[in-house]
Amino acid sequence: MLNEGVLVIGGGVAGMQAAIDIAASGREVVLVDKERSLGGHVKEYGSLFPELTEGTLVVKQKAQIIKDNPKISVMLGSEVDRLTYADSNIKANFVSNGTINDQIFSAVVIATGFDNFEGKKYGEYGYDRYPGVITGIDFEHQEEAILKKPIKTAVFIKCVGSRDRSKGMPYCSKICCMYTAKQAAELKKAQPNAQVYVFYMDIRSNFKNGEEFVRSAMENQHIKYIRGRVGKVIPTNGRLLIRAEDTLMGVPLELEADLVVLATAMVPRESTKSLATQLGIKLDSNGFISPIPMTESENPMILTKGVFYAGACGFPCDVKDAINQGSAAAAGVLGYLQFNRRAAN
Amino acid sequence: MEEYQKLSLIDPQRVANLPTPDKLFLFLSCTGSIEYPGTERAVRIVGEKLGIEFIESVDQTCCTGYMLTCNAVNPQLALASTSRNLSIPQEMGLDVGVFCNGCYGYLRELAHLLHSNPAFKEVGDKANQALGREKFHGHTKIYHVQELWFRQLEKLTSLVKRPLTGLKIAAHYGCHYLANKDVAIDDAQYPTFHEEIYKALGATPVVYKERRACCGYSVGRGFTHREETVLPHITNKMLSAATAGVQLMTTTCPGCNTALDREQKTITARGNAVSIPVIDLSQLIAFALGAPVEQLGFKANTTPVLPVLERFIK
Repeated sequence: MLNEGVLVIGGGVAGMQAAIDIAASGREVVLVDKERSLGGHVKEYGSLFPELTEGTLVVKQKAQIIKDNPKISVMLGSEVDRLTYADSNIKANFVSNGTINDQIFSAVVIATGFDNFEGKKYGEYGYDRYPGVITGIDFEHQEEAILKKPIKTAVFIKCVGSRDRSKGMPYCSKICCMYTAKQAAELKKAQPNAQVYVFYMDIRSNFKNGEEFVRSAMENQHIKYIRGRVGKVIPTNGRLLIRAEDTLMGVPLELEADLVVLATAMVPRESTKSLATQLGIKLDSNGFISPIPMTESENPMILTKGVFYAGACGFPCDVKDAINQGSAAAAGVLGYLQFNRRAAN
Repeated sequence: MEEYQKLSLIDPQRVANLPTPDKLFLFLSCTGSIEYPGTERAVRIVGEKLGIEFIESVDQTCCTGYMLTCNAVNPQLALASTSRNLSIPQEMGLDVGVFCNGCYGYLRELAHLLHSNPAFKEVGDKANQALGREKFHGHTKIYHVQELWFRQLEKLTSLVKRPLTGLKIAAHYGCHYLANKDVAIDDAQYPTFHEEIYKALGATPVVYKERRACCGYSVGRGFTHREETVLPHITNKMLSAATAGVQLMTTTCPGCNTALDREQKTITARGNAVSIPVIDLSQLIAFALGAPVEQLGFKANTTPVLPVLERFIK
């Protein structure tokens, strides 16, 4: 019998979008997430650059469409621990609340997302050790409290876990330049008297309206961008002493801050790795899913027969890009199923 | 003052992978054995307590740190010397224990070059051949005693005879050990394993503001003694330690020890009175394990050591 059910692994924005688009064609979709609610990382983001849309609104809107479509069954608190080929279908083993069961699907979308780089891997910045040193993700989680607490000086340190081969992190995590500018701008807006510094090595704002956003943060909100790496954070007199270098001026500098935000990178997930290897899908040297060459694929998100991917399990991407990839994967799945149906008839 | 907190970045796997040898080749340090002979003695005492027999050789020469620093563009001499020096423990079938961060860094780095670059290996092989020695194969392992002490911290703790209760000790780690990030057991930017050792000895670890600042030895103290470069730097470091209430500082590198100890006289003469004795970590451990104090060579120090340790001697 021809099975036409589709499994989407990961209920972040990429997975949600893929489920929505596949179910819109009338196919049965199972959307599985290990957490207790849909939305992945984005449900915890205060706002999204550059329009400052609330992350929760994006998630709410998609969750509503999913709720309204009886073709999508959502399995929360569940994980797929094994994927195996079964004839031309794929068998998935689910683990939920300690019970294991399996189900056959005709196609799978892997949208397992990413993890955040551990700030404490940079001992010199004292994350997890000095009060007042947080990561960009902590900023998003605690945004309300941070914006309310009076701050004299805040320092944002970019590229924590990006483009640093000595930490085994050679790639650019892509979104940190933008989210740092966004957070700095929000802080400055909430507390106009605060001095806000951003230490950068490059500014990579290549998203639509990205450059304009960063320019506005610098020129209209007077956020001070300093090119140079921070060498050390040292707790002094109840504040945080920053030792850095201004590489444009060629001078070492020191300043005292109340808040230090580390722009940590997006890193690949272990679960992506284990699922991919079970199906013989290759990972790149950083541990992200390695797509098949453009010239050899009929859909940008296809990995192998019946298996697609979407979102940051492939490479760091912003929310819009993750949603676009979800749609692209859905288009690939539908085309694949249509082709199979014709072949069966 | 920042409180020392245990949020350790020590790599437990690397610590577990360290050996607990019963015999090691002791690679002597020029600065260590000349400036502070007590350091070498202390290493032997701690080794003996842990059941490590140290073998040395009169054939061993300089680790080539100074040769390389003075002649970096032409490293042949350093490569040949290292190849020869390491062929000695290789012949004995022993791994190497060093007690100087400089020796550790240079030996490891040059051994790596000899092992991985055939042209460099040839330089070493030729030298050994001319001297009638066997070729250096590059498999001899090099350890710093500080990591070996930490590996057997539990045993050390059980051997403490003079608990250093109430003594406020601060660490200066030095650069050449922790810079070996592929093998060092702790994080280069926020190391804590010396503090763990102090606690095991009953002392109170103190973290001071300029804890990770350079000792100044390689920025002018060592060869040229450019006072205008070195003095403001070390003054800043030692005054921050004094402010934090540090009573004693330890190093694991005789070069660091020389800079931090000897310069205090100049710092004081220039108007910033400071007196914090600086000794080697092995000297501190040997003292806590009850070694006779006259064997630890504290007389070699410029800043007097005994005033802070006296109360622990029965």
